[in-house]
Amino acid sequence: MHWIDWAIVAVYLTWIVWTGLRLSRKTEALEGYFLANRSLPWWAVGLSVMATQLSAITLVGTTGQGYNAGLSFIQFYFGLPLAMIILSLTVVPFFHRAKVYTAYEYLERRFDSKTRLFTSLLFLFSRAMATGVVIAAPSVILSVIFGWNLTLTILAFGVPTIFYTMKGGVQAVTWADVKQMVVIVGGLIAAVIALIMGLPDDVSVGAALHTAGAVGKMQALDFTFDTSTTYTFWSGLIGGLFLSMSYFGCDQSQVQRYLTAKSVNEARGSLLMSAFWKIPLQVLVLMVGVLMFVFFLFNESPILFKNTYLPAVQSSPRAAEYAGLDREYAQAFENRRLAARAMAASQSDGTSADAAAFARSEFVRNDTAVRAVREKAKTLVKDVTGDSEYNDTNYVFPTFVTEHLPVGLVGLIIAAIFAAAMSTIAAELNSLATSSVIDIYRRHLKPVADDAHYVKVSKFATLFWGLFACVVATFAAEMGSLIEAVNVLGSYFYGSILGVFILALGVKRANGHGAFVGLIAGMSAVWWVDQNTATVYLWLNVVGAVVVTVVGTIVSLLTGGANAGTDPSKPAAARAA
Amino acid sequence: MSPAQSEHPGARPGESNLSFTYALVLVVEVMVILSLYWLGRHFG
Repeated sequence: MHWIDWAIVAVYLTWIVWTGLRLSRKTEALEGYFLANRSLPWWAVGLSVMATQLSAITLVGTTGQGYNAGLSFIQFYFGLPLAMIILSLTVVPFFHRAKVYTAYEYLERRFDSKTRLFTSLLFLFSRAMATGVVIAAPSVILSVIFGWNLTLTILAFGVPTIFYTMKGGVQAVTWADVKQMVVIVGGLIAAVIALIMGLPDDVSVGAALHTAGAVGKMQALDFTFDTSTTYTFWSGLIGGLFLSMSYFGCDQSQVQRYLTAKSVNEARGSLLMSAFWKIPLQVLVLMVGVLMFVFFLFNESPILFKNTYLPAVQSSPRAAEYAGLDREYAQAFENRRLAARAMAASQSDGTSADAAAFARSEFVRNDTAVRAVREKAKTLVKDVTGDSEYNDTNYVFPTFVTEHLPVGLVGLIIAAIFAAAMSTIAAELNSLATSSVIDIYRRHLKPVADDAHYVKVSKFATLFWGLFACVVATFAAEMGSLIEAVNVLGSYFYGSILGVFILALGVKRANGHGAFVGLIAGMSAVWWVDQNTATVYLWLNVVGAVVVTVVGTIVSLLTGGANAGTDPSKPAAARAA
Repeated sequence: MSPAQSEHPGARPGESNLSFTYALVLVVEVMVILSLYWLGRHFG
């Protein structure tokens, strides 16, 4: 990387850490450290909500998905706006009026301590592991692309984030998120402009999109109802609705964002910002992928984008076979380039419909040939290396950035990748610390102490979870498309935890026994469905939520109906109310 | 989008009627989905 790019990344890191340090003066009390004294404006919280969800995996993984599969991944987000409306009407006012620090704290007031303890432990386990993946994903990719040491790259993501999150608490996290969103969106827009500028002079953006559309990259919607197809309109709308309701309504890493808002309406406004902007933002991310596909039609691209395998393949008995594939790819690539130019030309002026249709079919045929060679190369790599999960999806965007962007822009995009990762990591560390201290330490280990003590323990908890996530990241194996790995992990718990909150808020006669047994039943059902059917992960959220709600209601009715909760900090009358 | 909407009768402090905003969210989502459908049809 050029020294100017290094300087841009260094300036970004300094800017963010300075933000955290500057805000550390307002965090002496526990409510200030974890909830910013419930004083933040909706737009800052809204940007923080979006920055928390948009990780580096989104930037590198989703652009890669756009390159491979086009816009179809956008369907994943169709349930999100509906979820935001439902949450604004239900959990947001409940949590705000209850003055809780964590979502799970509310469950004790409604049910009992075991339900709170179990859900908070589930959160701590799943979120800590997910944070490790969030750090590992960009670290592995950047270390491969730049040849950096993997451990040092993990520490480059982890250490500054741990530092400002520990020092400044949720205020630092939120205001850093606001700045990080600016860097991320700026980086994405710069990438789109660079991709458009990189098209040949005689290929317009419209003609380029027609070429992408010819091979299905512009086809966003799939209305088939098939639970074994990952991204369809229905899996996104229904499965995505349950996933979003669980993630934004029951996951402390998001709940804590809007608990910092000044009022119920400000909290609602922060969620509705995502309802309006999340899908357009994801379209922008996916369009980067689609435009990369078009860019690499006319500009040289390697047979495979992840080349760590090369030494192993070249020293294997199948080296000659691979060299043959490389030559075959070069020829297929050149044929496709010519066909793409012909098709782009046919989109303009007075080309006849028949000639345009022929140019299109020729392009599709040549693209199929290129993809076939790439598949053969992937199979060969898997055979030689024994890595059955080999996938180069996550390496397309970094390859484009490092090999085709000018000095300065490379630094900006790397800073955007850092910003995307750090904003997510910071929110997750902050919420892990909050749940550890509020749900475990203060509730079960040391109920009476002053705020200074709890803030000190909170800082230690942030440090602990940060180091834990870095260790997980070091050991995390690379798994296919990383964004899916994180979502699959979450789907084992998310739907079931959502079911517990549906019981708490929507079933008056539900009690602690029902919630606890329902939760176990829900997670067991999700596990069984995942192991024994071809159901894709988005539907697992629906399974978990429905099973918990049904089983929880039945068990509650069989065990005597509603109880008043057991939070010792609340009088019995208040708990019943 | 601003959360500052007119107070409705019986609203608690800091809470007001956001029905219009919720309706707007739905309208925008439908428009976005229709736009994506159009993109697929036009360029596909």
